[in-house]
Amino acid sequence: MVKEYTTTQRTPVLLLALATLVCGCKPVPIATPATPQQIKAQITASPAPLLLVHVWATWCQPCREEFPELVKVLQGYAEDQLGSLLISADDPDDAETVKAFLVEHGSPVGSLISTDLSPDFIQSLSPNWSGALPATFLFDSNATLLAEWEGKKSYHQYIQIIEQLRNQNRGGL
Amino acid sequence: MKKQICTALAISGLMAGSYLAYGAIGMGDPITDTAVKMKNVDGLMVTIGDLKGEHGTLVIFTCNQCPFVKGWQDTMVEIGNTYQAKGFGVIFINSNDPSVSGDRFEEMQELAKMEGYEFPYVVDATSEVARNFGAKKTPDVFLFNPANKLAYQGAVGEGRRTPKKGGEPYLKNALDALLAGDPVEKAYAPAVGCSIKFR
Repeated sequence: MVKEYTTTQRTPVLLLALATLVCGCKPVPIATPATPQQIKAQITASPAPLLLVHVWATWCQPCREEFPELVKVLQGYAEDQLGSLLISADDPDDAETVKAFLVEHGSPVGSLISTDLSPDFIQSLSPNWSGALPATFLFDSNATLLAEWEGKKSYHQYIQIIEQLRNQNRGGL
Repeated sequence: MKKQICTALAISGLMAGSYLAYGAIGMGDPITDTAVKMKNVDGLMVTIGDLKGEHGTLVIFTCNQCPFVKGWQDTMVEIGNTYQAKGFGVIFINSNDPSVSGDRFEEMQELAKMEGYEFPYVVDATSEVARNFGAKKTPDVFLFNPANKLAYQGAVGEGRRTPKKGGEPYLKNALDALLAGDPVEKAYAPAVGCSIKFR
């Protein structure tokens, strides 16, 4: 399957590819500001059967505590099994701080930084989300919200939920 | 099989649409936990019911450490002091587990003194008040009308970690509407914040 990228996706992907070619090392995750509309477009455009969207911030203690667990989860799946979209609630001016955090934790993916934390942004991800961080959402390839929760979870809790939903998908349910 | 998966997810509260179903107060619902005694920073026990004002009651779940609280602190305190004087009951509640968040009682006392709280700042010692309100984060605002029905829930105002210059003051607008006896136009405005560290 040819994966199509939106404009907002293409630049980071090209930069990652370039970084890999130039230094022959692991690509450095990047932190890119994005509007709620761009975020929603990326969720809608994701071809992955299951897309994990995680909203977090470097200043959020439970987010920091959970992040190593999340990295393990993301490292364990191929993109065509589990897509991922990290969305930081840090200030867009703090992109370097976000990037440094991703590098420090060996994140296999970069993070968007939402330029807008308004009620409209919150409701665009889920009408049930109170805005508490961290927050995690799982969408299917039709951008239908399958599961969501607020607060941190362990690696095993993530895997249990993801595998339940993947099995559900495989069964054509 | 489908039924098993749905049941498992529903039990764990993960199905879309189910998250706030448990324990949350909906718009227009009556206030709760009005008789729960909570320790104020002055050492006395108070209840939400004790504080009911002529024009309504403002309950804000807050804390000491959250960057969002720090960014909105001046605005929240100004609103609390101003509208208490105008006839609203005002209470700030800390539901965090201090062993996780570092919100010790002595620190709460210091903050209240330093920031000039003229209203109670109390400890929700079991976090049950937050659970029963459906509060999830700090700051999380619940404003009740004179009939003790929820009239506004959500953010203090428009912004990110700090108020947006010229942004919409959601809570102030709701308070002014209650003062004037008018309906609250924007009754729900969720905002990003720190999750409450439940006991």
